[in-house]
Amino acid sequence: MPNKIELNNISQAYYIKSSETNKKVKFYALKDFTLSVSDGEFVVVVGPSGCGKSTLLDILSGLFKANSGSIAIDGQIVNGPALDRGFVMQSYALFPWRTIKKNVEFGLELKKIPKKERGEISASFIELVGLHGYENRYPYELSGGMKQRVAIARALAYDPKVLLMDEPFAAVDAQTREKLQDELVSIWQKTNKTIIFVTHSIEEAVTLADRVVVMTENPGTIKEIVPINLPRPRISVEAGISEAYSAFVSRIWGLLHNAEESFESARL
Amino acid sequence: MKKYISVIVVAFFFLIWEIAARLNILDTQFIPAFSTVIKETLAMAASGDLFKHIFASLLRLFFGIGLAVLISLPLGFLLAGWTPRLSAFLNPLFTNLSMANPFTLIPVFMLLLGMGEVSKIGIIFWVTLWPALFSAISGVRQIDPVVLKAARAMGASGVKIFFAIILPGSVNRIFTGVKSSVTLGFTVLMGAEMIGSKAGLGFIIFTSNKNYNIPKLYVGILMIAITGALVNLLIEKMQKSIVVWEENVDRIM
Ligand SMILES: Nc1ncnc2c1ncn2[C@@H]1O[C@H](COP(=O)(O)OP(=O)(O)OP(=O)(O)O)[C@@H](O)[C@H]1O
Ligand SMILES: [Mg+2]
Repeated sequence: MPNKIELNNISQAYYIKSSETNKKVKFYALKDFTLSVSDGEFVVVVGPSGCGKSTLLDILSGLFKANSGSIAIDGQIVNGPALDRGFVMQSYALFPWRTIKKNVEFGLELKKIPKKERGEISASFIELVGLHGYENRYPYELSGGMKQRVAIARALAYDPKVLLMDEPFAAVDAQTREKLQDELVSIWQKTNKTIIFVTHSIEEAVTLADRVVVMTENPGTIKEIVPINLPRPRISVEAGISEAYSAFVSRIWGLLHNAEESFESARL
Repeated sequence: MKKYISVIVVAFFFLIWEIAARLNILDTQFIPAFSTVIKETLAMAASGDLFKHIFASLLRLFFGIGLAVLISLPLGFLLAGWTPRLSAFLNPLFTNLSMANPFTLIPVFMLLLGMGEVSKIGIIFWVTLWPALFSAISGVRQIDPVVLKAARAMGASGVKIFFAIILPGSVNRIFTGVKSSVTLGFTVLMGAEMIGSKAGLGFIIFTSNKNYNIPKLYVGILMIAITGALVNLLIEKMQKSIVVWEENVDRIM
């Protein structure tokens, strides 16, 4: 399989005021981050808060250029944002002045898709995320979980080949979350999108991922990549949770724990 | 509910005014009774004079404020969006200019622009420019960067960013600025219409004061207050009908 995304030695540092010395110190949000993602792969990134996951997606989206390193998608160096990537940000970032329908249609407008078709596409994605009937509401009238689902519909609607998702299901209830996970997997299987997905939920990572990238913080680097070679669907009402599934969960849990412990001891 | 309360408050004010005048608590030579002012107003309305004056003032305000808004919006967007450094540099200058007392500037405007309409409109323009400009700048500044990020992440740029993000994102703040502009415009009207004018609400005040026609003086004051409030109400209505996406703040205690 050809590599869809190549991340080469990405480093991103911020200068922050140290609390003790009050001097500016260099802090690596990402350091020498190298990862190849193959076409149609579902990669999930987990790691402690502040380890650089959002920074990674920001750089992948093309919004920021990393201090060093390079990104290529389909062999082309990424120089800025484009409609080949869809980005669901951690804060939903809906356009407050647009109705739900118009929010979902934003990317379609940029794609110059005619109005009638836009309406059909947005309707189907609003339906998909379970917000049928809310088309003409404004974001302020929606709950956090609903806003998050609009953001997902907005990113899916213009059919990007790569999906960057930053904790997209964090604000929804457990049931909706399972439903959305199922939907995402089925969309992914149908459309062969390449997905990079950030989450704090280890179960979610094991449920969704082809590979789980476990990160450590300060500096933000890859600790380990865990391939999840389990058949799909991984959780179902009939089969329940398999032993192999639980084994992956506890393995990643252990990796994250170690990561935090070694960070603690490094600080002492 | 709020509306009724303010109507009641205003009515109450006029009532107190009338009673105070009747009981001679007020010196009616300087502050005539409310009813006297109303009588004078009706007389001026009957002769058509009143509307001539209102119209003359509104026309000047329209051109002055219109021009101020027309110039301040693109200028504000430019300063806030494309040249933030230049804007930071110019900001203290703008603040100083905006604080210059408009009444002291009137002779300057007369010298530069003559005694005609141009100098009157010029003064209104100068005074109302600043709130409109500052609101355009701060309107752009307070746009949530995350929203801008979302649009950019989808490859939006230039014209699309302007019309889909910058304009709707700042329009509410701009309306608020324009309302301050209108209030200031009405305040400075009297000064502007002192210079060789033949009509206008400010002209009424100025000439009545000179001719010692006290009731008429109050007609001028009252009419400036009322027309100003009505114009502001109109703009507020426009704002509410355009900015439909914001949570009603009245609801939050
Ligand atoms: N603009 C910035 N200036 C300074 N430091 C920054 C900036 N943006 C991010 N950081 C720092 O970089 C680190 C990584 O941030 P990032 O948002 O990528 O973390 P994250 O892994 O997404 O965390 P979370 O799971 O809490 O969302 C953090 O320590 C953060 O403080
Ligand atoms: Mg994050």
